[in-house]
Amino acid sequence: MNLDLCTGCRLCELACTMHHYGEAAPSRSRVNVIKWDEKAVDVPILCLQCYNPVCATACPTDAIYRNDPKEVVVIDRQKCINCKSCMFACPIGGITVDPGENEVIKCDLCGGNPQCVAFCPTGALQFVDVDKSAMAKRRRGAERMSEVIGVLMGGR
Amino acid sequence: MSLPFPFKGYVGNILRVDLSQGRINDLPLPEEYAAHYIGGTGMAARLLWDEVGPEVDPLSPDNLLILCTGPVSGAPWHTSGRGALVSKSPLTGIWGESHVGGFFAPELKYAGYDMIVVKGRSEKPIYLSVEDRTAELRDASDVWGRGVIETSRLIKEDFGDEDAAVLGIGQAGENVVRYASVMTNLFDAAGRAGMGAVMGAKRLKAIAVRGTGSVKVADPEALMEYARSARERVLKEPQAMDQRELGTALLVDVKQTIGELPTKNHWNGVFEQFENINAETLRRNYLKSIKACFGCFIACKKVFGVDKGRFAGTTAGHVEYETLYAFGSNLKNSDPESIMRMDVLCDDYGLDTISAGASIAFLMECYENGLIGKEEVDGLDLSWGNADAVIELVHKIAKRDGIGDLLADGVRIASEKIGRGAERYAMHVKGLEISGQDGRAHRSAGLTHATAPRGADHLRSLVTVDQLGYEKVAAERFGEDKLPGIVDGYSEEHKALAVKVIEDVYAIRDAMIVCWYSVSWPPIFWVDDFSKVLAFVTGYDGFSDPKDLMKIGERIVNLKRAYNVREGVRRKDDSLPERFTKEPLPAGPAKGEVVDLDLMLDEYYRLRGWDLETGIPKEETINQLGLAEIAKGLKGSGIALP
Repeated sequence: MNLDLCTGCRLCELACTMHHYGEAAPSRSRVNVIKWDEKAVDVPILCLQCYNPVCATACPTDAIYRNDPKEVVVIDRQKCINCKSCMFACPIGGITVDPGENEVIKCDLCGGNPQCVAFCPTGALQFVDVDKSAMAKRRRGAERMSEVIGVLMGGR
Repeated sequence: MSLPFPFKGYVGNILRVDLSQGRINDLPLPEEYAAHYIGGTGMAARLLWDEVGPEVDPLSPDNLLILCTGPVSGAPWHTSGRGALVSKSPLTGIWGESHVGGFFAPELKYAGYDMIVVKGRSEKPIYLSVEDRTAELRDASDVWGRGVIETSRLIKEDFGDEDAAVLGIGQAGENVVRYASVMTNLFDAAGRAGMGAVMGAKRLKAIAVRGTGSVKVADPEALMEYARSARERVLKEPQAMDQRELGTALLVDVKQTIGELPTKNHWNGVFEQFENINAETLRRNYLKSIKACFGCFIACKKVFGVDKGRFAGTTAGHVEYETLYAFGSNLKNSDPESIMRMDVLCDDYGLDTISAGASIAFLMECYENGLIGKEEVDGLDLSWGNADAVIELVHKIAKRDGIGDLLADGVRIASEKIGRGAERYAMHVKGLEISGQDGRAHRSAGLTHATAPRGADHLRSLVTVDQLGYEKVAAERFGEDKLPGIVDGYSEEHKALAVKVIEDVYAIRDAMIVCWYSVSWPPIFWVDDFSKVLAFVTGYDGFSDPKDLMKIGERIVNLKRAYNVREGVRRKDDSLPERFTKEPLPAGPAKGEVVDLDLMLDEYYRLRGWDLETGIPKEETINQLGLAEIAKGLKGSGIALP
């Protein structure tokens, strides 16, 4: 996620609900852009697929699980009783309730081809390997520093 | 329980509000109007025709304020965040419409309404709260008198939802400044034609909406596939990406190059200090972030901040080209930080920057020529470029204070009041102040300003492909045989055809509703795309053939014309100030040019099937477009149809 690239267009929300429900319905989206108009800041919020998901810990029926640390955190619909404990446990709001079906929902990465990423016009949302993402972030940080150094060195 | 609306995309409901009676009810969206006019300002034109006749004063309770969306609003398509306000304009007294982006229109659809139609006038200030098919009028006494930014925050608090979309007016609308805007998302303006004054006269401070519903589409898979390709087409169009990088401010350089950057109340077309107010200067010194409206791949909106100097602390959202010309070159003001200050003031007061800037330019030229003295303008020094005086005037206009009261009625009324020949400095058509183009350097713009239904407007029919190096697109849209004349901006050749075709297409655009950008400029999507998108969204086969759509576009244009004809508009009103037809541009690439309006007008009327002498659509024309009821209505009003 590159927050400084988010324009707040909410195409991610549309892509999400079109994929999951075949309709445009931001209230049913597994990703929502949270907006602060006065600050002109937009932050997309969605499940970050934690390594240690507290939603799973909080789940009374063990309906939330993951098979491998690199895989997606899944809700088992057979076991889920829609008690919303996971929603309260998640520290960032990664889980919500779909007002259509009245069930808890979270990002399932669209089975490996996340549509929010496919539609994001700026690359604010990307689906990348976490190690590469960390290095990419360092590179961007370094770029900013290099600009300062460039100024200090007089462009040499 | 009513039956579901037969076409997808629409939700099928109109929210009717009568402020005088305090009554709110739901009505079904008329299916035959959807089929006939699509939606948006097309359908709103029919509602206004039906209910607001020549006897209605725009500021009276009987005028309607129509907030409309189209079938594409809120759907998963590029630029689906658009909505529009329609009313009889208090600035012009004729057809008024004003479009706006942001997030309001989709939210309204998700709340279960395609349109809100407001009539009457409230005793005390109120706001309309809409949440998932429930609506109520709530007291707004505490927010009356406040600016747009504060109003938006307080209304959200009262409404009880941070994610509500708010659309409202500032003090200018309350004080019935005739070009007051309606604002949403703080910085997005339904700027033109005084929709804010209509809200103010109705004592409707704001509308807050929240919806958890959905917009259903007929063919989700086909639509998403098409949306994917649309994303590629936008991202690989260099001018779209320039727009993301620089915003519409990039037009300052473009217009200067053509000789069409209005300077000193449209006296000139080049501005010596244009580089002080161009996109590159703004980006380099003030850019804070790049923002988009709902569903848009481009992201043309820029937020600028001033950190130092006497305007430090100014955060200006979405400073557009039109504002840069209106408060910059057209006032000979080369201080970009002052322009940002003026922009924020206009946004917060809820003032149209084009008409506000044009009114000030008018007064400055009157002052320069001794038509009005210092003692008559509250002691202000109205020399060209005096930014402090301009800022003072913006405050005064919004408050109708002193000389501001004169300017608050627009240049047409102000010039009549001043008299002494002030009309020659009043740059308007039909009462609407002229936007940032100049027919002398861009002939089609002259025709556009003269014929657009809301007055001197650029958004209904501005031909962009005749001056920006779009030979290929021009050939596709108008035919190879029209080259090279059609792309010569300094010639009248084929401009009537271009304006006519473009006007029909934009009428479809404004009925869907999608944005100007990526349809009009840069020219990416066109009628073939509209027919596919509308078919995938609505499933109605009446929209799937581009030829049928063009007929609908033409129908809408003629309906708006009929509305204006019923209000008394004739050929004599399709005019330009003499500055454009008789005063050659004094400098720049278009030096010596004037507009031959009558030449283009004759051709335009012929193509339209309108009477050359009166400008009234011929009976045959109206009937061919399936508007027999409208013809009957005109005749019933005592208007002889040629």
